[in-house]
Amino acid sequence: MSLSTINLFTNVKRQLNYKLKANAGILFSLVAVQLLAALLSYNGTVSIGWGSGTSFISLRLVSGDIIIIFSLIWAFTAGLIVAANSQRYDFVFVTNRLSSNLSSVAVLFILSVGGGVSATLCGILLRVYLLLNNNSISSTYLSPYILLIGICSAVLYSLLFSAIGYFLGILSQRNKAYAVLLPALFFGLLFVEARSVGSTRHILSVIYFFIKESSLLIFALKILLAVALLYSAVILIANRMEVRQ
Amino acid sequence: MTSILFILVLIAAGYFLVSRIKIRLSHTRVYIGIYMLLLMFAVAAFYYLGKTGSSLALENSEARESEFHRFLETGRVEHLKGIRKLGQWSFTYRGKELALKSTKDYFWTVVAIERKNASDETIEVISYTTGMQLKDADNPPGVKLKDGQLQLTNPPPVEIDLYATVADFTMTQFNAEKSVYNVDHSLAQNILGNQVLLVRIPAQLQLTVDETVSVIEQK
Amino acid sequence: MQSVECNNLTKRYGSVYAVNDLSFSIAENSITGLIGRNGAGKTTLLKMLAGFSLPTSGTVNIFGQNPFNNLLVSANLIFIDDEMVLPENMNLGEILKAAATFYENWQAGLASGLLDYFSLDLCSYYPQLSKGMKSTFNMILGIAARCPITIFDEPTVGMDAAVRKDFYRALLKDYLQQPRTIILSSHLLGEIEDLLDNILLIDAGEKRLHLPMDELRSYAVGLSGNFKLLNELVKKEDIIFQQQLGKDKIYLVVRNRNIDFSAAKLKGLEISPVAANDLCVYLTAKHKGGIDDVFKHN
Repeated sequence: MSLSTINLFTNVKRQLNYKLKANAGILFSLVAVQLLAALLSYNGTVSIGWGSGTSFISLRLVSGDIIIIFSLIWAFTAGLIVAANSQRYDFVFVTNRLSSNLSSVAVLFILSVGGGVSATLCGILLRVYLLLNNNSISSTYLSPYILLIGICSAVLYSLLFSAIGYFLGILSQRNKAYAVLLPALFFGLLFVEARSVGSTRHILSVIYFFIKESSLLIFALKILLAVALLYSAVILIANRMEVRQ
Repeated sequence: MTSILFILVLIAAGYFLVSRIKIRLSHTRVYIGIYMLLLMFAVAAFYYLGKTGSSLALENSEARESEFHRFLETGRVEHLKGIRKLGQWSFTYRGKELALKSTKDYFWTVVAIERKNASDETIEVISYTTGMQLKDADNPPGVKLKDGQLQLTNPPPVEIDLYATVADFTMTQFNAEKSVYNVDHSLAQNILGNQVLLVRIPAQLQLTVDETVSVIEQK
Repeated sequence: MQSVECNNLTKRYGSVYAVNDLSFSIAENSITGLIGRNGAGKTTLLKMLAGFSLPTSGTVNIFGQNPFNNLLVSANLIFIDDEMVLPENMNLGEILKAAATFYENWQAGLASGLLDYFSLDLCSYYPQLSKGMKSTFNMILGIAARCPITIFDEPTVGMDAAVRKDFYRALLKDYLQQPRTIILSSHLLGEIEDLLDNILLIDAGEKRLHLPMDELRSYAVGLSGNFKLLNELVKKEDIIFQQQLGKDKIYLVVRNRNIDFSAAKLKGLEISPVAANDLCVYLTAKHKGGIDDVFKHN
């Protein structure tokens, strides 16, 4: 019987197709997460009151921030789940570690685009609902250009969060202890750094590296660089990993 | 610390939610499709509605207030841009004298008196406001004619719930225009605006005004 | 040509040798039975062949290549076991369609025919299936993929006798239509005996036998009769198994090399063939006397 020859990218394409279907539930949960976040956003993030003799005015500021933050947490968990699923589902059919990881990256890329775009648009849905049903004073007008900037940056953030999730997911496949140790280390350090003033702030400076960047282009480069580093590390780590144990 | 814990709980809950949701592939396609349509529709609606949105609240309140007073003093208040009628009353009155009185301690709204040229035995009262048109916030004062008295009652106190939508952090990070809303006197003034009760009386009517009402005579 | 070649293959977990210094090769287009008791190292061996895990030492070659992390090997080898995880949100039809995209030789008609025959509904979901039905579905994947190397690790777990029989028949029929290298692991030889070309018997991670089936059938012979007479006859032979039958009577399974059968018959000893399945059990037993040994010492 003659052997089938196989090209890496053909196989990545096949796996992408399969894994998008196998992980479709993640996309569904995105809808649930965003609608829940929209509901929580409805009461506004900041509420200020002002009263005079006969009137009382309360102003709630509403934005899509909660929706986006929830969507980023979703992106992180999507990374974890795609990592776990790729170990479970991929090695049933044709794959090697590289094509498994490349197809996961492609899946997470698509999920991040979906997450970032829908998170921003869900914020628009919330605004429309408020406009139609409530006393809305001058809403900050979002020009299509600003909307596009919002979408791009939400997609970029999602890419980063899903890559971190995937990295942790694969690492914890290697050793379960990582799943607990790394988040604990991260949040522990963050907590310590946030409290102490003047000492070196590694974690905070990493966070500021992204959130203080005001040029979208440089921000995109930073995110893509970080994502590339995370995925390269994953591919290196996974290359000698045993599967289906 | 609590916020870190909150985030951890969110991640755990999120992981639980995302990994537990088991939904058939064929159903997923339908739900995602509906959601996408909804979002597309929202964007279309947003830009359709966006053009009608007013930015009145953010204009300079002092300029608007002084403009209101200028118009008021020159007797052209009904021609002020953006002024709205809240209510209108008309009474037939054959008496020679009329007393203007507040039913409570003090009537907050300025009353502008305008003498008509004719003696047509009709009193017209119109309530105007320059405040924003908001749901459940338009409360005209009470006006009643009884025993030779025009009795004025303050409108019931209003509670106005306002929303201002601001840009997401993903937008403001790359866009210098950070919108900050402060609820201060200026904003409140713009929202509530100025009110005036225009009272048109026949030329010969003798008017006595109580100290509980402040009155401007129109020239 | 050899499809599978292992040289001094060893896999160690901590201090336990799951596979120990195993060397063998499997010819192309043959059905090999990998027989061993529970914990003999069958699954460990097969996972190294499939490239899922790495040997501690030694080499595995599949089509002359190292299977670990090898896309070419993966495209030409399918590994079916009862721990396969398939997406929970896709129905069987959708899974079959996905599988079809991965394998060049996929037989869609055969897959749906088998699914129909075993009354599996295309619209049902994998987690809802019983253990036996899962095994049946896995088996259908394995057969329909028509990979040059097809590995079944304990494929019949949970299947009832009728389905097991049908499965082996389906496997044989498809093998005859499209010969390929099939490795079938089982702790029992009995049911698959007629299917196999070769048998690879392993015990405690080590190779005990690797023979064509017909050689296995004449590998050993059973002798029974008087204890003293028998002992004299088989002095120089390998005794594989012995069992006390009566006061003076004993049953021995002896390696069939140069036993003088005519002398045995003259002495009134009974000579009988040994069933292949029994032989495998005897060969992998820890004690020559089997379970009887336990009672002898107490």
